[in-house]
Amino acid sequence: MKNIAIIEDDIELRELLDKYLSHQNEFSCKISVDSIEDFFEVLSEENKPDIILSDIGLPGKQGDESLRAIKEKLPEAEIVMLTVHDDPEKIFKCLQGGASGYLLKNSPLEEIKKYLSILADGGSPMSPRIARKVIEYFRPKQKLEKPLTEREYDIVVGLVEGLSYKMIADKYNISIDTVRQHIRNVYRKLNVNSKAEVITKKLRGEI
Amino acid sequence: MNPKSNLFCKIITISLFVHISISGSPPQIRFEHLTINDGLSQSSVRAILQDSYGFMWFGTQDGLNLYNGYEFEIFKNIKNDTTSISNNFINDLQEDLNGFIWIATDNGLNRFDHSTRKFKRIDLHDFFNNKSLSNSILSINATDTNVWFSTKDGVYKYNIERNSIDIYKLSSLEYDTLSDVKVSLFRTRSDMLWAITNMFGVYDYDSDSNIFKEIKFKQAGNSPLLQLNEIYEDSEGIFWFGSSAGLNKYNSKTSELITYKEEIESITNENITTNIINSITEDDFGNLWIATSGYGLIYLNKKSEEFVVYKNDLINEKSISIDVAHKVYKDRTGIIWIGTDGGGVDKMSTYLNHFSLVQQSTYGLSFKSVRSLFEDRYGNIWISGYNGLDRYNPQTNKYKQFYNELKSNGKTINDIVYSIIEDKQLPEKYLYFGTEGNGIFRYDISSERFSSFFLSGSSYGNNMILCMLDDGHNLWAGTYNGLFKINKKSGLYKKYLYKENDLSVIEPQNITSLFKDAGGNFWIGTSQHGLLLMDSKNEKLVSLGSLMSNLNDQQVSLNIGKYIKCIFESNIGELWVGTTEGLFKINKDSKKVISYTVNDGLPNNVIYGILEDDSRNLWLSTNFGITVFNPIEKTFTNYDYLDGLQSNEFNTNAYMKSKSGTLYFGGIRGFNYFNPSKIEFNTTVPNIVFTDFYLFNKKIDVGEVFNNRVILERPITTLDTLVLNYSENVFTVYFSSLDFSAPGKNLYSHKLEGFNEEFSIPTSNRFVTYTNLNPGKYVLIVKGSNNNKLWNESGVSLVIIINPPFWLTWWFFVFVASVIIMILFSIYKYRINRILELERLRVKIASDLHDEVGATLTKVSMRAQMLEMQVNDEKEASSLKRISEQSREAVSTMQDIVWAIDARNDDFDNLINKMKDTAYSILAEKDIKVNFSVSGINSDNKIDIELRQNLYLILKESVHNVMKHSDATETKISLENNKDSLTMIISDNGKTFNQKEHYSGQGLRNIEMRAKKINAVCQFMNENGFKVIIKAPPIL
Repeated sequence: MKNIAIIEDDIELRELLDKYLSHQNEFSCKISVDSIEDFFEVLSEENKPDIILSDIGLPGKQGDESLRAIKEKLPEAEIVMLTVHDDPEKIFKCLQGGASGYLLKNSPLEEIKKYLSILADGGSPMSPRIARKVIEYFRPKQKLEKPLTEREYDIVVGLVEGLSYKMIADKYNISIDTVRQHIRNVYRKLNVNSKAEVITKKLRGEI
Repeated sequence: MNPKSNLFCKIITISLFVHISISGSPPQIRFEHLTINDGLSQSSVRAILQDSYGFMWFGTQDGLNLYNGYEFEIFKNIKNDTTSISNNFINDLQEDLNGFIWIATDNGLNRFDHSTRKFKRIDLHDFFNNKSLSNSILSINATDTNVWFSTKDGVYKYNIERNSIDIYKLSSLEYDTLSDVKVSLFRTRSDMLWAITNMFGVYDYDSDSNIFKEIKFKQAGNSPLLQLNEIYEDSEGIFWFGSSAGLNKYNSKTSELITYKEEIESITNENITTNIINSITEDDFGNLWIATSGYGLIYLNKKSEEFVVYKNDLINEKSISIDVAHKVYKDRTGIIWIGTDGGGVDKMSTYLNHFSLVQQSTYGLSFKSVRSLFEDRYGNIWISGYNGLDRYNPQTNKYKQFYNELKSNGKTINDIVYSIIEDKQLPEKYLYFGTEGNGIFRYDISSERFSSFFLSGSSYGNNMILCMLDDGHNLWAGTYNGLFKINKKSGLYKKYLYKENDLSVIEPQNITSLFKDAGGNFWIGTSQHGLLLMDSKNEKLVSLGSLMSNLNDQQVSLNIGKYIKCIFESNIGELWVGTTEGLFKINKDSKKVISYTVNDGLPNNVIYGILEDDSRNLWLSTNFGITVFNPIEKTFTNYDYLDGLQSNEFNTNAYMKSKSGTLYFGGIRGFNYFNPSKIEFNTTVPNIVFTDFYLFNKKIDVGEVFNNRVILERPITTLDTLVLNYSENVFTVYFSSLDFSAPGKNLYSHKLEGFNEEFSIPTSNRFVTYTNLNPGKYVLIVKGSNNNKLWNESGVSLVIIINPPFWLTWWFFVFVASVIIMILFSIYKYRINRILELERLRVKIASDLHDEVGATLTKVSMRAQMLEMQVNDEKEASSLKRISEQSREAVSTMQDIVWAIDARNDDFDNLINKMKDTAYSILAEKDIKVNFSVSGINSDNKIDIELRQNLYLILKESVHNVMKHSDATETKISLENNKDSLTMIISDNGKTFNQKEHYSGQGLRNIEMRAKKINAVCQFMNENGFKVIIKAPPIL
């Protein structure tokens, strides 16, 4: 049973989500707050979440800005951004910042459940749009701390072309789980790279 | 001197003496005057210099003058201005090899710099402590390293580089107390420097011992030469001294000294005991001119050793202005300048003596206006005029007056003689004189007596004899009142009158001229009826028209005019007639009349006299000078007063040619004579300089501030480039040909390169004015000529730069242009910003709408979903599902609208990505493979909003259909753009799609509608799967 924390300032929406998710067997919802600040306040050993569902636009600190802080406190937790817009830029930045994925608020509840399940199982979903951004990011020309491996690259390319995980698995003769694992690694590399970037930028005085 | 040469000298002297005492007056020389009235600062001129530019400098007792031929510029001491001259009493002027002018004044030595127009003073008291040293500088001699100058204390050497002065005392005798001591410096051609004192002899500078040693010149008899004041070395290296022994000639090689004391004494009528000679110079013909202290200007012909003295003659305005002269100086043109004491500057030039001039003078011509000239058989020249009748003997150079000899009944008549002729036939040697009111007098040459010859009654007119002709037995006389024929022996006369149209008689009228041509034709000139012709046999008038082929009588007379002044036949038989309306030529062979007037080049239409020279040229006297007609070139060359004529106005009948070929013309102020083949011209090419600069008609001096700036950094004479501002747009530049023979006849022609391409027509105007020149660089080139049209073709040039006003400068243009660009750019940006703003506003509104409404709809959807889970009834569940689906769709649609509106999404790439994302996300659920292909479009091609939106929505609809209604496993989406069309094909491999079934559904109808919106053709195909084909107009 995975614990999910919900950070969402629209009360009604939050309550609905809370109700729905709590209703599911595999999930429990112990934290349901409307701001990052409140989240940290109520956070304790007991209600430590496995997955954090966070809106981007929040009162006080923004969801995307708080990623680092959350990750520091809860390095093992998966953070999923809840967003209204399918804005690849913003989402990609969140992924770089440490988010594991994103969900459109407008998604059917079933989809939300499915997504969070995959995540709970160790997978990392990646939409073609995000995959495209990843390709761009990991362009061969770029000097990165951790560039993609060939396999990882292939998988991302496959995602860009709209292949489902199953299709990718079939294509490369690997299991779906392996595919998911690869994608996870890609995310991690995004984060690492983004961290490294931040450090480098800090050292250079750019930040 | 040895006895032989002594005797020889004596003989010469005596003969000279004789010669001089016989001749009444010396050969006439014209002296032009420059006085205070012309701008000279003061009348006593002690120093004269022509500098290397050609300017003339005159040093007076009150100021230094710089003369450019037209004006004097005066330099005087200005109190408290140490760059002005130190003193106004000028003793000497010299130019050094660097072009500086050194000025010896009564209080200090000065140096003038042309390029600054300032003086540098050298005061002896700055160099020597002895306050009793005289600072009155008397004489200067400058070399390239030193400037030697003298005061009464001795000689000084000023070293230019070291700025040091060495002093040289000349005599061991103490003479400081004497104030009359004069010391002057002289450098010989062999570069010996002599110091000449008026009391202590002459000293030579010995450069080895660096002292002055006395030289002695011994006269015959070994007596020393005293009061040697002036030394001159002529072109042959002979020295001439002015001393108490008069004029001395010294040959340095033979040490022979010749003294001309008696000669001087005889021409000056004085006993010479002291030196009277102030200055000596030599002219271009090797003759000496000597300025004396009160005895006139002495001329010595070195070859003939003839002495002539020129003194002031009150009656002759062209005589030397005063008998005392300090200095004589010859300039580069050969003009002799005389600095007089109290008479200003006199100037004498042989080029002004082309036309020898005789005017009224005390010992010469006794009256002013000349009416008639005649040469008798003995070569004497008879001249008559207003209140005078003179006879000039060229051999004796003496004038004798006969005016009082004209007597009637024993009484002197005081009449004017208008015409003189000689009797051709009678054995007695008679001359006939036609007078104004007393008829004709006959003069017997042998007895030298006048007697009244002809008087035709009491009528005044009858007795005014204007012209006469002797044809042998008879004397014809033209009077105011008709023509008379007088028998010379008997004295009986016949009167002729003329009636118009009656060719037999001649009516009372003015007969102005009579002429018998080589063919015996008797021409009569009148003042009212023009030219008449008389048959000398029957003494009847002949029709002129009958002579002329192309004209009848009336036409002839009209052509020739009414008032005849003179009639002349040339050597080749052409008849020339001078009238008040021009010159006419009657060609008897061709029988044609040709006229010449001012339009053809004559200086004036009134022709008084016509003479022919040996080269067949015709010389005419008019009311505007003399002109010479070249019959081959058919050109007139005009001479006027400035060329040396007595004046510009000549008189009727006052002309003659002597046997020797000399032409004489008389006028209102005397007469001129000349031999045309011997006229000398000024062969010196003048130097042209710029002299003054005027801005807005105000003279600008060097360094003067005008309009807050110094316009002339240097004087314009030494300036290469003149820079003016655009506002300084009216300026005049003055220039001068520095030839002083007759500055009024110097001509100028100029061109401003960059403004006009041709040189201007030559005029004597010595300035040019320019107004409102456009900015730019110009070169003003001025050419000039001397008085005989000898041009300096290279001239002088000045670069003139007119700075553009700030509004014409390049930086101003750039400034204005950039301002305009900035303004335009700002306007553009503003409008763009406005558009962008509007755009963003639109997007924001849509976006906000989407967010707000979207959030609500999402919640609706969620609640419906949750309810769906709780509800058991299938129908209810299905209905709730529908609610949640539709709500989500609504949000999605709003998303699509926001996407479509946002112009940032207008490139093709964006559309493809959106299509892909949508296709993948919709079809991935069902694991349907998606194959995307794009061709013929650049990723950054722009697509307009309509096309974008509709294409996308068509795709979305199609993909939905595939997902919902078919069992396809693969979908192919292709977008192809070529020059004909943009084709989108969405095909799948599903088998269960029933077109008909679903056509009525919204889906396909919507697709059709959207296709129409973008002018596309829509096609559905259903074989091996469903295909949607959209053909839209191509993207270019």
